[in-house]
Amino acid sequence: MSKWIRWSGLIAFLLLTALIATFYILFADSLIKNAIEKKGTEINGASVDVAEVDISLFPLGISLSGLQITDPDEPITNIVDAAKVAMHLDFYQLLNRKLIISDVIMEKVQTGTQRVISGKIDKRPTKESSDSSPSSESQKTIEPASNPTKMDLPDVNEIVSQEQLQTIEQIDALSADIQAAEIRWKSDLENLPNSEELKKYKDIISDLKKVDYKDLKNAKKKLKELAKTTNQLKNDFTEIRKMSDDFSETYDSFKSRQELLRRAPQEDLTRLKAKYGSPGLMTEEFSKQILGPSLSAKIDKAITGYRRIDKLLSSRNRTKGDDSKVDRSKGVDIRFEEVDPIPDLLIQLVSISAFTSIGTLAGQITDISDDQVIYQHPIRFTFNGDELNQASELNVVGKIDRTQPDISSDSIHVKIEDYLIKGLTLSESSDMPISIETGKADIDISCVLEDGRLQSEIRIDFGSVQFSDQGLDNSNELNRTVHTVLRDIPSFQIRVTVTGTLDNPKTSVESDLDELLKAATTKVLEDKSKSWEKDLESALATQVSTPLSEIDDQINGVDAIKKDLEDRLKSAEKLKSYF
Amino acid sequence: MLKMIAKLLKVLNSETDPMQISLALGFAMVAGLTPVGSLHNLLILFLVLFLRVNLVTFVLGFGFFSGIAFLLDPIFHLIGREILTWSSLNGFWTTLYNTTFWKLEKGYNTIVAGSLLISLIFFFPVVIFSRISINKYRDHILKWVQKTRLLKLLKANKLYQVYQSLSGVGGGS
Repeated sequence: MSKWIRWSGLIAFLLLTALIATFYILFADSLIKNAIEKKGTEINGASVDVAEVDISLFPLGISLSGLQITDPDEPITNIVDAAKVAMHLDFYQLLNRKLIISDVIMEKVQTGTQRVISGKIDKRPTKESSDSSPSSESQKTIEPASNPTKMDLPDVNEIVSQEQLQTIEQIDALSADIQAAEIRWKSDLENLPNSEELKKYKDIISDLKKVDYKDLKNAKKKLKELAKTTNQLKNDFTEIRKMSDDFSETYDSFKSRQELLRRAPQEDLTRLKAKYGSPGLMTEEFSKQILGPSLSAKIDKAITGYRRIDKLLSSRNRTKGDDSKVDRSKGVDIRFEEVDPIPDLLIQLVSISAFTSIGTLAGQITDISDDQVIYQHPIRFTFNGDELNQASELNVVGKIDRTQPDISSDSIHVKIEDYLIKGLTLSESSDMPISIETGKADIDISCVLEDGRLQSEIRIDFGSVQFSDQGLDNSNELNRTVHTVLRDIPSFQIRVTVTGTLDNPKTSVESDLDELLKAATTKVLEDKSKSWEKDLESALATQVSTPLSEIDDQINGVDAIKKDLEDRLKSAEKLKSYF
Repeated sequence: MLKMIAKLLKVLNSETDPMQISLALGFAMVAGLTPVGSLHNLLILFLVLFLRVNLVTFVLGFGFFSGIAFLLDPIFHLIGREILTWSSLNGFWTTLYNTTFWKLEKGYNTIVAGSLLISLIFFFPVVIFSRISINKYRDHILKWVQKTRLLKLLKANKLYQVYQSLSGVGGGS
């Protein structure tokens, strides 16, 4: 037996395993630090840094110092900057390859802190580059004045030169018709006897009537010729009459169209006013127009943040045999039913103490797991204001519920009371900058997302408000008027509702400012609009005056044909007694 | 490379028990073909050190089979997936899955399961075949080689000098 036993080998084995264990214990800090930074960066899409890691063995715990998580959209800013993060781990579950953290304490957490170096890790499109869109000078269009903050109505000369005016179209059509009719009439007239020729009929007929009945043969011949000439005269008369009727009808229609043309510029004016002036639009939904852009940006940012959390929480694919993307050295983990199922990752309680611009917040997040279907507990979070310097009360409550497969039911409710406002920008528009210098606000945000359907309401009651005149453009009458109105408004309310889906959110903004601003700005807008309308009318009149006078000339030209035709008809009618 | 061949020859030509060499080769195959961080490899390490198996053979064999494993990983994955998803074995795997040992072993991974199964299947055939081969080598080839002029030539060769310089390396003791 001793032939097969090597006692020194046993000692070597023990030494070797002790050596390996010592190595892991000694370098565990660095190994965990690197693992957190590597995995965290991979998940976050931007740098995750840890200044220092400490491990305690009894009980098993990890303490991180200087945790910084970069905002992937703004790599020079941290989304989370925590001075200290301490946690306790379940050692037994770690052996079962489950990361069960009973509690995490995050101290001195801050958001939006500046980084020393950028945390960008790849060439993700930045906001600046993704927002830029190619501009095309060749596809220049005239923008209607739908933005109430912009008083620059489109240039009237530009409008009348670029628009397809109905007046011009009608003039062109009438001109072409007159031209065609004129050619036809002239041609017809050439085939009809003129007044002189008609007068000759009289002489011919008088001559033929002088019949010498003694010479029967000659008399018969003359009578035959008389009948023929009379017939010819009758035919000519009929043709002249027919042409005269036709001419009158066409001529009358030209005249009617000419009359209509007098009204066409007015119709063009009405249409162009509706299209480019839109005085009705200019006073409606003022708050939406002013607050819309900055609200949309904030909503987009919130949705991006939510999507990031959603991506982290999405249940992993647990189907068997899905080996479409197998790492050749890693294989695929096939999962089986667990007797006492628990998620692979579970953080039972996170206690957070955060510094914000409002003051210190104390919060708790419970039951963070990577598989809520197994754990059957949604993530819940609550934050409360503690030593607030900018509000009297702050309360955030929410949950992220994925306990039912493929069904999500998430909600958040934020309530802030007596929030002290200092320099709050409501509109960043260069045409209508609006900001509140000082004031107070009660904010109530309620957002529910169930199965991808969004139902959100934001209600802000502003009080003791003092608007700022910063950026006020005194040359802009509307801008000046709005600021004058705002100066006298001590309180107002904004209500924003967001519905639809995350991909297509529909935002609606209402405010009692709308009515006040509408009443105050209507006159300014109307005056401006009237002046613009006059200019447009004048430009339109200039544009169509020449073509209109040309049409008059054309119709006058037709009058010569009319006179000629009337003369011929008159001459023909004088000869009527001959047939 | 020369050193490795020399080491192998030294072991084969020594008085080391053929069973110690063949067992080392078997253990090397299991450790080499399966992922190195697997729990069972700790057991292999214990057996290799505690049992009087030839360490040189184990080290050389481990290197060789690790190289082979790299090429065979896709096959191990397919075999592992088949056996782990075999419905009649589902109860067995589920029982194992609920044990800490199996979780640490990561036996539910297709490559771990496939490579472990294959290496265990081939363990005894490799041990037995290599033992017979070593005996045959020593009985026939080694004796014949020592009688021929070839050895004399080899002794003048650089390989032999390396071989000589490695005296005392390995062995079963």
